[in-house]
Parts: sequence; structure tokens; C-alpha cells
Amino acid sequence: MAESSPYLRPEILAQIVKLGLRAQRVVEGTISGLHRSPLHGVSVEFADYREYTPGDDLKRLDWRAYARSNRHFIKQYEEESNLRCTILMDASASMRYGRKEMTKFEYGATLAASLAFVCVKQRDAVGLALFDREERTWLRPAATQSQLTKIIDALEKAKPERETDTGAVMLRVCDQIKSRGVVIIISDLLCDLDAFYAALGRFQYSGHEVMIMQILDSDEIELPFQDSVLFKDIEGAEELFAEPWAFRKAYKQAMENFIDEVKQRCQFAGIDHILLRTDENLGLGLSHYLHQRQRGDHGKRGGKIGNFRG
Amino acid sequence: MRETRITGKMPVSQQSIRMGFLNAYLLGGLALASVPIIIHILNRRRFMRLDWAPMKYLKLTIKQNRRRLRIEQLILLAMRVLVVMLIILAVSRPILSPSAMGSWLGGHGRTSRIIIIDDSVSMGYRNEGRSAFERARDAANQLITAIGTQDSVTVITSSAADAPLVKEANLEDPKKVTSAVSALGVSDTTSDWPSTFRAVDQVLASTTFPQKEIVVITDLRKSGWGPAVTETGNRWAGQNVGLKIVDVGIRETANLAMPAFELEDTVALPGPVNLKAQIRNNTRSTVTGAQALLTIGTETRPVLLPDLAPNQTTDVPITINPNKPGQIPLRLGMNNDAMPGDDGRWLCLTVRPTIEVSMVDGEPSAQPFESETDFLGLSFSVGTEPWHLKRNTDVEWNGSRLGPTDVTVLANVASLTPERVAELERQVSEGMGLIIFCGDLMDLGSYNQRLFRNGEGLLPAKLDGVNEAAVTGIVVEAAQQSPIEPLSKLAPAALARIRLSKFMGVTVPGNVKEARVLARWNNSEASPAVIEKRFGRGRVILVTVTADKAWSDWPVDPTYVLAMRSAAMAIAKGASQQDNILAGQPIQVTLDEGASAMEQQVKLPSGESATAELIKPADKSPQVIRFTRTRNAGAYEVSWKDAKGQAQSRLVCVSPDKAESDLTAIPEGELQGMLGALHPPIVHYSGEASLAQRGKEIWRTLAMGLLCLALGETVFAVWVGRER
Repeated sequence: MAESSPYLRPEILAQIVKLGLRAQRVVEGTISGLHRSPLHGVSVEFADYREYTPGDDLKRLDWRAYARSNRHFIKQYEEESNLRCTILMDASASMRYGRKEMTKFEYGATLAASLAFVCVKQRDAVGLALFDREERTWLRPAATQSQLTKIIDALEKAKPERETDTGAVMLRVCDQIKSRGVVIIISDLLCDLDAFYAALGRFQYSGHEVMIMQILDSDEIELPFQDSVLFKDIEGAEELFAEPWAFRKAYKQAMENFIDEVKQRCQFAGIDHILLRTDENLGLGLSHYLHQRQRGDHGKRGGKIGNFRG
Repeated sequence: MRETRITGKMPVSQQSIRMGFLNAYLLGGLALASVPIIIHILNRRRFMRLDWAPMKYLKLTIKQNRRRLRIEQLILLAMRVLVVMLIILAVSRPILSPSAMGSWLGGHGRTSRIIIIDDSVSMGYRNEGRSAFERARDAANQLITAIGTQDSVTVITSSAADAPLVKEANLEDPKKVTSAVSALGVSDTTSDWPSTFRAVDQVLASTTFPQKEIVVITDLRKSGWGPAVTETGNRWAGQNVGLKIVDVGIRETANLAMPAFELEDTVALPGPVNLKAQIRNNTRSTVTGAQALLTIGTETRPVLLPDLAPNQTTDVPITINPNKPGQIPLRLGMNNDAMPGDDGRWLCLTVRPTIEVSMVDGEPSAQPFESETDFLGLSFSVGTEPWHLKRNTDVEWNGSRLGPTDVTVLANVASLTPERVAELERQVSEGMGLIIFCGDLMDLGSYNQRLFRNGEGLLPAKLDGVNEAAVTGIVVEAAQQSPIEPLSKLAPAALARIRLSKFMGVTVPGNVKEARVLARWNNSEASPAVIEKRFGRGRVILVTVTADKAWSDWPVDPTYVLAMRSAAMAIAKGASQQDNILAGQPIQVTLDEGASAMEQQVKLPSGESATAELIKPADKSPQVIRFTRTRNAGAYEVSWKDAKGQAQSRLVCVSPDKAESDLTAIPEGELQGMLGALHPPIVHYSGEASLAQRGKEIWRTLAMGLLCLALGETVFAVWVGRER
């Protein structure tokens, strides 16, 4: 089922699967390897081999496999990943916008599915929280194949049609995540930013590594319309008649300010902020980002987001 | 494009600019000005509906730009509406007229308005099928329609300025007044603006409102204007009376006119009567083969006219043969040209049964040829002319009232009373002829004082005294229309044999233009022998010798008979001036002394009858029947009943004034100068469009404005449409 989902695109997966998703900070896992863990948990059930990488605990080295193949393999076990990745996917009505190939939600869902795939592929636990003004779906992180199926299934069933309350939802989700891990927020961030920043602060305080994938349609950035437009609030009833050419530049400036502000705050707090436009190649953008993470260009710890004074 | 010339200064209070349109019907297209608005509204209906997520930032942007956007949109919309309006206005050919009737008649408080319509002969001049008078009626009706109900209006024609057509009317129903104006026709009168203005003065005095406005609608011919209007103009300016002039005339002067039709003989008697008509060709082509029609009573006969070159005048002799005394109405008319009013004239021909000669003998005698007037009477008694002689001694003559007579002869009359002199002056000025013979009995001082009066009186020359130098012969001067002209046709030898022992020395004053010497004695001083003076319509002849043989042997010479008969015939009172008058002049029939009239009526040329006025002077002067409504040419028959109840009648013919045939226009500068301080604006109206629309067309200005606006709109639209 997972393989036939529109959100799992082979061309994207092919670009990112080898890069993997690495935590930049200490995460609470049970094994050492890809992700540094403060815990020394015990293995329960063998799951798979993976190739040895420098820094792996030599105790995990399977000498038998080495004897057979003359290669170094590390044994991996179920429920023992160091990385617990939680994807917070915005499924509010604002994500429904999109006049071209994909809506923002579809783009975000593809992104979420791809990241979940990567996580599962590297045997990391991945969870999903689909939300609008409430959490509509909450899947606790797990590293099983079935978890991927559940995630994709939840994404496919989601209907972005309600208002958003990102900040409040993030606070509640934060409370539900018991151990430190990676939190990926996929949203257009067209919400109450103060509440959002407050929630980010809570995630920071809880020790999570947060990645913000902001998805916007190019229309929303460029306002390219040549005709008069009756803008209807996608999450409300308000309507506004306007001739976009008369204030396009000002609007673009306003949007730029908005994106810059988010970017600066995230930068200040050491949070990754990736702006993705729905008309951009998702695989390329994602692989570029993951590649940068591998090189350690990201994840510099910064100040508390609440202390930012732009 | 037609640009109306407006001249003259206007009071500042009247300089409000009014706009009119030549193609006013196109103004309906102004509705098209709503097209940009409709397009704007339709554009607002043609929009894309979009569910939008970043509403917060959209609203923020719009809020910051809303005011600017709205103003820009409104300016752009206004420019587009204005562009359409300017297009429509330009094709509607607007006219700005600071002196259009609308502004003339604009509200400056309640005003008494007087409209004077020139209905003189020249107003009948037709051009392109319309006469100036028809245009004047149009203009008057437009003015009347434009005048508000708050004002009063008086309409006057120049031919009857003292009898307004409409007086002080409030125009709640202008149609009543306009229909009265429309019924007006051009008259045969001449314009006389000084007297018209004097009559308007009286109307002004009786008007209600303090504000007074006069509009004169005329063809601005020079005839009729004179310096006498200056005083009125200055006075009106001082009284703040506004005057405006609407010129409805054209500057064309081509005209074939008949300036005169008159009796060539001095007196018409039964038998052949010589008439003379004068034809003036003021056209640019030679008149050939034309003919006129002569109407004698009820009979009509053609009169061939000679070929007449441009700007030439010719006399046309006409002879008729009345066989009995009485009044005969004659009309000579040509085919109508551009101005029919002066194409014909009327003549009331009074055929006299006799010529009345009253001789006053200052030295009567019972012996044959001893009286002063015996030889004179003998001279009139021979021949076929029906002379009717009446002899009086100077004593009898001084003691009675002067009756009507054609010629009076004073022969050696000692002196005249002042009353008698006054009576003589009146009769001579009315046409009677007077012959004065000198003599020993004359009181020279009295004559010089009462009759000469320093050249103002009847006497042609001052009497200096009796000159006793003997002289032989008389020399006739070459003078035109000389009463003794037949003498000049005689052989000089016939005149050289006259011998005289005395003659009256006289001094002919050089400053009296009316006096001239007709013959001189053949002496070294060339002393005047016969002197003539015109006095009013009559003529006076002074002969410096006696009428009898006392001073000369001339009375026994045949040349004396010839001289006296021709002189008396020449100066005899011709047709009564009362019988032939000009249109506009009053008909006055003077009754015989002591006679009275009742039921006096006038039958007009149109066939209507009207009551005439009977004037009874306070003194013993004869009563006069007077009738003033003579605005049209033709034969007027005055009838009345005398004291015995017997019907009496008199024919009076009315003709147009020849002055109206002169179509020279008065230069506006000259007219403005004549009107003194008034400086009236002059509007030229040809009847093509509404009078209120006279002014300067401004479509070029609008087109320039349109171009600029269209350019500005384009630039502004690009500026507004740029990405911001």
C-alpha cells in the first residue's frame, strides 16, 4: 500500500534515501550509531544489519558476519533507534491552496511521507501528528514498516478544511513527546506566529531538535494575478476585492518580511528553517537540505527563541 | 467655423461668460461619459474568485495602500469620463459668448427691458432668401423668450417709437408678445435714431424698475444715425441705462432704387404735365431693357427705362395728360430687387385749374397804366395760361388776412407790419412765390429791418437806396433753374435796349447762400437787377426797379412780359407739400380759414379706415386734420364733413425716404463715437443659429485639451498600473 501511495514518489526517495536523516543533537536512543544517545539501552529483537560507520560501538559489531564477508556490520534491533522523529503536519484549510500540480498539503504530505520513509529505512522511529486547530491524527513514533503505512494512510485520508491553531496544537504535541528527538514541522506558517514561536520555545526547552519546513505556493509569494481578484479567506468567510497589480510589490515585500522574520528567529534559535515552494522540485530541495545536514552545516545551537529581538 | 464679432465695452457686471452649442443635439452623447464608469463597474464584475491563505498579509498591504489606490482609481476614472465628455463637447461645437443674449439678459435684479426693432425700408433688404427684418424678428423673439418673468419688456418699432407695440409687459406668456412681433412687417419709413431715442426717453421715464436695458435690433445702415444721439448716449450712460445693439444687416449694398418721382413743372394744369423720375443703379451690372409701371389712378402703363451703368443715376422724363383739375394718385414702380421698398414711389398730382396771383399795389391810380401794377397785370393777361389775378391796394391788403395764393407781388408797397411779414414768411416757407418791386414809396429802413433782417428775412438783398444813374441794358446771369431763364435765350440786343433812369442800389450779402443774382444792370458796377432767394419751400424775387414805367421803360418792353410770366410760373406755389409726404411723416390737411371738420377719417392704402385727429389751434389759425400712422407708402384718402355736413376729401401720397436707398453701413467705431459714453456691445446676427449662441467657438481649445488629457490619461494609467 505504501509503495502505491501518491505521496511516496520514487524519484524523490531515490534522491534522499541514501542521505538519511541525521540528528544534529543528542537524542534519546538505545543504540549508538547514526545518532548519539545519552542512553545505553538493551537490544530486544534483531531487526537488520547495517554497515559499520566510524563511531559505532564496537560491541555491536557482528564478528560472525565479518568472518563471513570480511565486512563490518552492526546489528540493529527493533525499538532501539536513537532517533525519534515526530512530524507535525499542518492539515488546515490554508494548506489546501494550489493552482498548479500540487497543493501545499499534497506537497507537504509528500515531504512528510518521504521523510518518514527515510526514517523507517534507517530504522529510526517516526511519528506523525496531523493537525489543524486540533490534532486530528497522532501516531506515536515507531520504526516499523507498518508505521510508514499508517503514516501514509493518515496523510491520504486527511482533509485540509479547518482553521489552524498551530501554536496550541504544538504545545499539546510537545507534552505528548516523552523523549528528546527530532521534530519536523511542515506548515505554511500562516497562523498566529506569536503562539507558534511560544510553542517552538517549548520544544527547545524540551530538548528537541526542531526542523521547520515552510511550504508556500509561488502565488502566495509572487501574487502574479493580472485580473481583478476576489480573495476569499480560505479559513474564514471574509472576502476582499482587489486589483493585485496595484500593490503587488508591497505585498511581495510583506511576504518577504514574513518569511525573513521566521527565518531570522529560527536562525537565532538554531532551528532549521527550510522554505519550500510547491513549484520547486521537492526531491532536489530535500536532498540538498539533507546533504547540508550531513555536512553539519545545520543544527548550531542558538538562543531561546523567545529572546529574539528582531 | 464662424466667429462672431463682438465689439464695444461691457460693464464688468455683465461680463459673465455663457456657453452655447451649435450642435446642441449632440449633447445627448454626454451620456456616453458614463461608459468608462460602466466599464469600470463591469470590470469589477469580471474577476477571479480565489480562496486565499495569506489573507493577513493581503489585508495588511491593501490597508496600507487603500487610500492611494482609491484616489488613483478615481482620478483615472475621472480622466476617462472627462475624455469622453470633451469629445462630445468638441463635436457639439461649444461657443463662449461673453456678450451673448443670455448674459445680456442675465439676472442683475429686476429690469425694465426695451427692445427697439428697426423697421425702416433698408430692413427689407433680402439676402439668401431672408430679409434683415425677418432676422430682426427672430432676434427679438429670442430675446423675448429669454427674458425672465421677473422683468418687464417693452417692444418698440423705429417707425412708431412713440406707440410701443408692447409696453411694460410681464412675460408670463411670452407667446403673446412673440406672436405680435411675428406679425410685424417692414415699413416704408426711414430710420431716425435721434428722434427714436427721444421717444424711448419718454418710455424709459415711465418704466417700473430702476434697472433699464435697451436692445436695438437694426441693420446698422449709416442713414438715420447722427451726432444728435451723442447727448442721449451720454445721458443714458449717466443714468446707468444699458444699450446693446444687434446687427442683423449684411454689408451688401447692391440696389436699384428710385430716389425721386416728382412733378417737373412748377404747377400742374390741365393738359400735358411733365413728370420726372430718378433711377439709381447701385448694382455691379448695367441695367438694360428694364421698364417700370406707371399707375395713374386705376390705369397702368409701362415706362421704358434707359440703360443704366453701375453707380449711375438717370432722370426719366414722363409726360401725362390730365384733362381736368383734381388730385390724381400716381405710382411708378420697378420690378422688385433685393430691396423692394425703394423700387417705387407715389406722387399725388394736384392739377390746378388756375394760378392765383395776388398783386399788391403800393401806388394805385384810377388812370390807365398809372397804377403801379397795370403793366404787370397786362403781362399776366396775355397768353393761354390760366392766370387768376387779384389786385389789392396796399391799404386793403394790410387790412385783411392773407388768403391762399400761388404768387404774391408787392409793387412799391411802402411798408409792412410785423404781423404781415410773419404771415408772408409762413406762406413763402410753405411754397408761395413772392415778387417784390422797388419804388419811391418804400420805407427802406422798415424793409431792411423787417424783411431783410440781416439776411434772415425774406428780402434777398439789403436795400441801400435809390441810385439815379441812368443805365441801358440788362444782362442775364447764367444760373441753373433761373426763374427768368427764358431771357437768356433771347438775343443780347433785345435786352440791351432797356433804359432806366433809376434803380434801387442793393447789397447782396455773401454769407446768405440762398440768395443769388439772376440779372444785372449793364453799368460799370454790374448792379443787381433781379435777385432771388429761397426761403423754405418758396422763393422770393427782388426786382430793383419799379413795376411801372416810373424808373424804367422795361414794363413796355416785350422782355418784361416774358420775364414776369416765367418768373411767376417758376416760383408759383406748386403741389402742396401736404399732398406728398414721406413715410413716417404725419398727414396734415390744413382747412380753409374759419372752416371746421367733423367725422374726419383716413382710408389707408390697405383699405382700412382710421380716425384722424382734428387740431384746433388756440389762435385764429386754420384747423388741421392730422394723422400719424403713415408707416407704409401709398395713397391715403383723408375725408371729413364740413360745417354744412358736406363730404370733403383730400388725397395724400406717402413715399419712402430716398435716404434709405443709401445702404452704406455705419462703421462701428463711428457709431461708438456717436453714442458717447455708452460703448454698447454690438452683436452681429445672421440668423444661422441661436442669438444666445453668438460668440467664439472653442472646439479647438477643447480638442487640444482632449489631446493633453488623453496623453495624461495614458501616462497616468501606465504609472498607476506599474507594479507597486
